[in-house]
Amino acid sequence: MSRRRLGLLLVLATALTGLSPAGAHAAGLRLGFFDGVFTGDDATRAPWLGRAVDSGADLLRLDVGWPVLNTPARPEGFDARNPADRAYDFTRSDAAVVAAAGRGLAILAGFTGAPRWAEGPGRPAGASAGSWKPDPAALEDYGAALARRYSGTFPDPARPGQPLPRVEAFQVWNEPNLDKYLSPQWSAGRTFAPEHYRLMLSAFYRGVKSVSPSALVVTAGTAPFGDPGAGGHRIMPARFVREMLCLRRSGKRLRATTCPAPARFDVLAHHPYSVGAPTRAAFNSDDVSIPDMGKLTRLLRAAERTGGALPHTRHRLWATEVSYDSSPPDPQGVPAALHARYLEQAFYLLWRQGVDTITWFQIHDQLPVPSFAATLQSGVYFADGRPKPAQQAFRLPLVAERAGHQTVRVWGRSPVAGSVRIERRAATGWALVRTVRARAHGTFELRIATRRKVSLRARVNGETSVTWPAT
Amino acid sequence: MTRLLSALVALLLLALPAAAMAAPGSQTNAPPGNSAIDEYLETVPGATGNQRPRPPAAAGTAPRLTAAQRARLERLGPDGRAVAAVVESTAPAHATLKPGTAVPSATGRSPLGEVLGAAAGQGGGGMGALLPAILLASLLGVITLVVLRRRSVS
Repeated sequence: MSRRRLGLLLVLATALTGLSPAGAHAAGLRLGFFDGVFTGDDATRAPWLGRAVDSGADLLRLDVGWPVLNTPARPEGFDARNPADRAYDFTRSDAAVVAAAGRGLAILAGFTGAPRWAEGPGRPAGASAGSWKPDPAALEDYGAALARRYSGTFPDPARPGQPLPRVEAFQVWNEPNLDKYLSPQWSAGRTFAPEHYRLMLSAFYRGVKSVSPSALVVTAGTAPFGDPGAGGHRIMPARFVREMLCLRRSGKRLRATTCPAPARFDVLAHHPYSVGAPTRAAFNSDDVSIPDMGKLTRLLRAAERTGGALPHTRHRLWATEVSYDSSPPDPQGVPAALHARYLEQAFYLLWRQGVDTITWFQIHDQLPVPSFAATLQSGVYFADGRPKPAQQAFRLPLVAERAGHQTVRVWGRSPVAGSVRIERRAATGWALVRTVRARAHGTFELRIATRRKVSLRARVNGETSVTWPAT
Repeated sequence: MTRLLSALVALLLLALPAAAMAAPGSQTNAPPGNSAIDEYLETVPGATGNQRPRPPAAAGTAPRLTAAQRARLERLGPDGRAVAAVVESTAPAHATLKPGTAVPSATGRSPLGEVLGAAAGQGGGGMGALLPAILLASLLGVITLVVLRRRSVS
């Protein structure tokens, strides 16, 4: 075959790939919630599980803790890899997992904080309890115990004859770039936490995979902002991840560093909070807000090439916390209608940057104790269970953005399988623009040719999205 | 030509107070409604970018004149002694840092270097490279104007 013919064939193949039907898109998006209400008591949890399902959630992030005796010395005779050992008490997490799985929700089980016997020696008085140099070997054992308990076959002590449900993914720690959760961050003028976390992560991975090879191991979601320079309480997330993945900057390039034990995991997680609109990038080059997730994607892909991220597969990217506070009830939050748009725009921007799973923090507002500023009013429901506009946006998000003088790009996610009607506001009401097919909880994407500003909405199976304003 | 000169002077006058007003310390931004949750606070970079601002100086021993400097001033009589007293009483205190506190690298620059560094915004505030650029542009503009005027006169 001549080069010319080959070239023509390639062009044709590329063109045909681009002509896929409207609405079809390979990358899906799973949505969920992270909220302490799901690990609370049964009576409180039940209605909120119902609301999570009503909102179209696919999964919950549950904080299952490290429920073992918190003694200065390791409990005598403790078999840490055996989830039935008497030193463990999984009562609370079992109940949460059973309840969530009973509603058809997938589970991401996470924890942060080590028992005293699993911390390093000499924790200073100022360091948070459970944060000081957690022992990787103890984490490996706990990983094995967790994976065994939630493998789908382990007997449920509360329901004789029935197994505990399977947990899909395990997340080791929370925001390890903050000394509040992992300390020290720095030691002798050098970063300490990224390398130590790498050891924790890989050990936990070994423990989980030794029992349940198909379970996913998710890195701790990094907090979005760090302190400038050396020696602060927080390391900027891109720097933390870069060092965790054994990379260093060399000009504009990334190079591998000497790394005898690279990080092992399946999913890289981050918490991309923004101090402004979802389009507002972080000021500092190593901070990561919503539009900056590409910084982490770049690190992840580089580490996959250099061997700094094992196993040798394509790792996924999740946002295990993100949200905005709304007004009402928080006087400093964003107005409720804008809150709904921020939510769907955050979902879209994260999805576009390769994120395939997002857990919104939280499903319901916290009470403003001690203050609004110190608590989260980021729920898609008010504390009393009334839905905000954001609940509608969570269930059927729709975003439109101008992609050129004559084109508007439209993105959304349908709560049910079926035909989604994209409508524009007209002088006499709403007029149909296009119809796209979508799977249940599947994303759709299309382009509309128009030079005018248009306000759009989506309708499917009698449900209507929040109106996306003139774009 | 006069209009150009006026514009340059105005630019210079605007630049100076702006540089003086620039905050030397770091500021933070919070997501809407979460100003008291420190993990969500974004540090606004100063002119030094991702560098920690200089820690505030703690109380310490005031720098003293060396014996040689003092003797030289003493030899100048009452005026010299007065100068020595003023130096002793007004010299800034040394920064004393807690163990483990990160210290920005000491530059040990000359006074001229410090002035130029401050003009370039290297002290944690100022307008960064913008101020010297404006000053340089203004200077070049004035020189060009003067040269052109001289040529037109001759």
